[in-house]
Amino acid sequence: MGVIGKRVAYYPGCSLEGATRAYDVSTRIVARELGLELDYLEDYNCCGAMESKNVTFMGTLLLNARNMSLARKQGHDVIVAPCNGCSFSLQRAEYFLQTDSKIFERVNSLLKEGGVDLLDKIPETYHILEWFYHEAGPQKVKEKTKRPLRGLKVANYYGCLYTRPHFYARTYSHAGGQSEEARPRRRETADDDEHPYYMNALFEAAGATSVEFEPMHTQ
Amino acid sequence: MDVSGDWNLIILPRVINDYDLDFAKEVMSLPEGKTMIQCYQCSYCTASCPVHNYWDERYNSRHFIHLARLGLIDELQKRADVMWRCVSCHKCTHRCPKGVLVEEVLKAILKTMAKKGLIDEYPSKKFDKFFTESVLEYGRIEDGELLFGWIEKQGYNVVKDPILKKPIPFLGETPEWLKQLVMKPIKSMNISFLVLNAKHMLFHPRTKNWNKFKQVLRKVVQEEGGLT
Repeated sequence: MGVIGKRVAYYPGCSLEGATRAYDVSTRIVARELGLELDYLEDYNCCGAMESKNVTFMGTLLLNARNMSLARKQGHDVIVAPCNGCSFSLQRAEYFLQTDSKIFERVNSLLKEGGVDLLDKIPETYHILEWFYHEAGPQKVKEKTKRPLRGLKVANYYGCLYTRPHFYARTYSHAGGQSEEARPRRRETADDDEHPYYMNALFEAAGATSVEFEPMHTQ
Repeated sequence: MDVSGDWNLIILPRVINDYDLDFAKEVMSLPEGKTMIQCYQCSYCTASCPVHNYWDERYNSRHFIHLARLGLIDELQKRADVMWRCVSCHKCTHRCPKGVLVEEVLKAILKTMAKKGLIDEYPSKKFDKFFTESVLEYGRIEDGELLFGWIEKQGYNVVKDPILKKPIPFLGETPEWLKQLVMKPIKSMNISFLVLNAKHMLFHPRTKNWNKFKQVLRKVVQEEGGLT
């Protein structure tokens, strides 16, 4: 435990400030109760989601690079995003910035042009589940639970982009035909890619019962 | 091995002249399309694809990559009505044993086709543009405006307020699916939440200090030609 850091930059994303406000509020409360600190990313912009990447490649990278730059400005190496789409977009940007130095230089020069601080280092993005699981863990959730969710049956739905694709989320686990060097790095803290279990573990620690939902987990 | 000599009777020889090898080069010149060259046609992507399995068998990512690499543009054009149906679940990219970013490659193929004028504007592209416009303009999106603005673009008669000229939810014509989708959760929501969302619909949430960055973004988008 304690590999990611107790104090991280918090990127809520546009939806969490509007249509899914409840998720934002509960995330903050849970983090506070678990003794973790979310540093709100001031003045962030939209990540571009699945849409703008089909229109403009460089523009989408720029959108995310701006958010990364804001996180660096606030002194963070780690960004945590509760939204699957946002964490996907940030991790996608991270992948392209890390693997292609030409893209990295182009993005940096455009950031400068746009009046944003340069990226000296590319911050890593984690999904909030990963952060909760590794910084607090089921044991602590169990201790801190005031009113257990006893009798509540939960179907844990992780969504498409929580562990996929492994290039971005770094959840690589299956044996492909790639050579050892070409095989993408796996993040130490990453969830199982085809059968994620972090949410099950945390809910069960809080007293709920997970129902059998296996094939639909990540559909 | 067939030595009967019947082989040629089953498969008639055919000659293809109108292939375009530059097409694949153009796709691979895009940063997302670079990995197309690594594909060895194992079809793991197609086997994983929910669109292929549950919707239409004609959506076949492996085949699209094959056709793009051979440069058979007319065959790709025949499939233009299904090619945009990707749901971005990223199973293909995740499971590819050769490290092809399949989802991104397919989008790169579509992008290249659109750029060359080989494909009409497809429905998902329209929404992508609409969404991106909103992001570029304000820096942030707003779900209500996105939803009802899109409904308006689809040709529904939306009632707008007289001052800010923004669509008012549910007053005008609304598709039945949307009523069912939104009305049920709204009934169980508390009032402060509804007020917040109404406020956001009237006064679009914006990123501060956005103007300078917006100009750079617009310049980049114009270079790539995505919004035209």
